[in-house]
Amino acid sequence: MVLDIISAFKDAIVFSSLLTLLTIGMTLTYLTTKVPNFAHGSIATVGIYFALITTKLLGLNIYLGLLPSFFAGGVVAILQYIVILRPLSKRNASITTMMVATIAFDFLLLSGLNILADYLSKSFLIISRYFLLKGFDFFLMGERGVLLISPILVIAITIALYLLLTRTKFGVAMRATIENPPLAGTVGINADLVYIVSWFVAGGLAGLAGCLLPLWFIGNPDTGTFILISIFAAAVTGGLYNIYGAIIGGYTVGFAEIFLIRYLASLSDPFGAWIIPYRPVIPLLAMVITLMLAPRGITGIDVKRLRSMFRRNRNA
Amino acid sequence: MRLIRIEGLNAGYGKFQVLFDISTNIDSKKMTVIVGPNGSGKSTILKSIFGLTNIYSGGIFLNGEQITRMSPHQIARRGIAYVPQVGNIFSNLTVRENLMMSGYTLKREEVRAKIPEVLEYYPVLKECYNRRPSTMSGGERQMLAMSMALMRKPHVMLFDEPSASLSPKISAQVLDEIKKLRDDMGITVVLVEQNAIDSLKCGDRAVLLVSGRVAFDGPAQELLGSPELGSMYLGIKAA
Ligand SMILES: Nc1ncnc2c1ncn2[C@@H]1O[C@H](COP(=O)(O)OP(=O)(O)OP(=O)(O)O)[C@@H](O)[C@H]1O
Ligand SMILES: [Mg+2]
Repeated sequence: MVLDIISAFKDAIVFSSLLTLLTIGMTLTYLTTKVPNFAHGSIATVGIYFALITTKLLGLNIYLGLLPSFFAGGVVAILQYIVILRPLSKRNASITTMMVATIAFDFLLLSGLNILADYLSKSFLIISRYFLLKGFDFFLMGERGVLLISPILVIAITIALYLLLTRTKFGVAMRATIENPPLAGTVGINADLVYIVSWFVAGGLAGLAGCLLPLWFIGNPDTGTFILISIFAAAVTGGLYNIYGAIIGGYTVGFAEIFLIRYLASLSDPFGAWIIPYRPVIPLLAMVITLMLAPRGITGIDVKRLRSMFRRNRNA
Repeated sequence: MRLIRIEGLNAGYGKFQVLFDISTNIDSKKMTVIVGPNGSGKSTILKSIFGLTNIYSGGIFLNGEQITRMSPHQIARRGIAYVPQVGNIFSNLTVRENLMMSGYTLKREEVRAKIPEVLEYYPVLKECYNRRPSTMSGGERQMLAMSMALMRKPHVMLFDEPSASLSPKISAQVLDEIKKLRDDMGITVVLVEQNAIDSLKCGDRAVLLVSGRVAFDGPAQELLGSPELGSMYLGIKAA
């Protein structure tokens, strides 16, 4: 097997873009409510099934599923916050307790998605497991639409988030709440509303990513759970303290994952295609390396200090 | 006239009780000074008024309305401003954004009218208007914190050790500013201070807190003139 750089690059573009959308959401809810959400991947799977329903059941253009997926993901995330996390946090639950609660919610969501998959296949005779919706994409200059749409979506969302956080009163209030929730409360900001909006946006972005995913990758009820490792790795690598870090992290981990696994699989003995199932090791390694070398992630690296260290070494 | 009434307040953090059966009144347009040793619960009283602690029993009333279990943002909308002991400004936001946020409950036009007014009151802030507090001096930051509290046109202001960690000269200045709030603007002031003597001198009423209980509640002059309480808890030498 030879490493096909062009095809790996396309794979990496789509995968990293979707991963970035997911990482932005994960970072946002981590920044506001300080909870690492283990159900974040499965919220994306909700979008995957919205894509399936939009195309196979309703016979519509898959891109029409984007908006409903956004809302569905957002609503699931808000429910997760209001029904599970908020009551726990009101009772002064620890972060660990909240984290375990998100794992429990992930199981619930996963069961729901499995039921939905069975229902779709039994009642409508739709292939609802390990499906690919490649054929529902449009073509632009011989390339599949999602190759272009997914990075464009990342750019658009980044600009929208930047404008929200710097140009609007509510966005500045979100930054204020992230930094100092009690002070934000005392100036009259409704911190709970900030949290609800953050969860909605995070879930919505996960829904968007999920909706586009089956255009390029295989969708299944547990797809989101598998991506979860990459999301955590991307969030940590980029720097969990900063939304823009999610973009750097998403593309770094996404490209590393696709290129490294494709490269290792293309080698002869002792490497080869058998290594593909071990792909999750790559994001885990990225996480370990980041935590060892730059615990605050790429965006947390103090460039000035690094430069002065470098200069000192050169002078010595 | 009493503005805030605290009745049999038992409060703390989680299961850790700090305040025990606190009852006191805050008079309108007067300065109430809360003094006491470190860890006696002074900050906790202010936080309790703003709903930032766990209240086990008792009540806090503002103008007769119970505010005990309201969220901080609801209490803020009732015209109380609070300058906490630590973390009293948003250090990741510019001075402009800080002022904008502190006027969060006001209309856009009101904020636009109020900012120049506040800057006039604290001219030092004009020079750092577009800077982040991390590049400002301690005194400038304290001014920012006070100006943020002023943005909301409050009728009550709670200050938690506003002059701590400032040089004696600047801290005298800060105390002066607070006095002006009461005298010129008719704002009700609650002041928590380590520097007991100076603050008691300009205060009207005093509450002495010891281990989470009220040990003295009365005119500030009386506490100043009480050698045993003064020397025991406040380091005031008996004359
Ligand atoms: N967030 C918190 N969680 C748990 N315990 C706290 C918290 N804040 C304060 N305490 C404890 O509550 C007690 C009273 O603290 P408080 O801050 O009210 O004291 P204080 O009178 O303001 O002291 P100081 O003069 O040092 O500011 C202390 O024993 C302190 O350790
Ligand atoms: Mg204190």
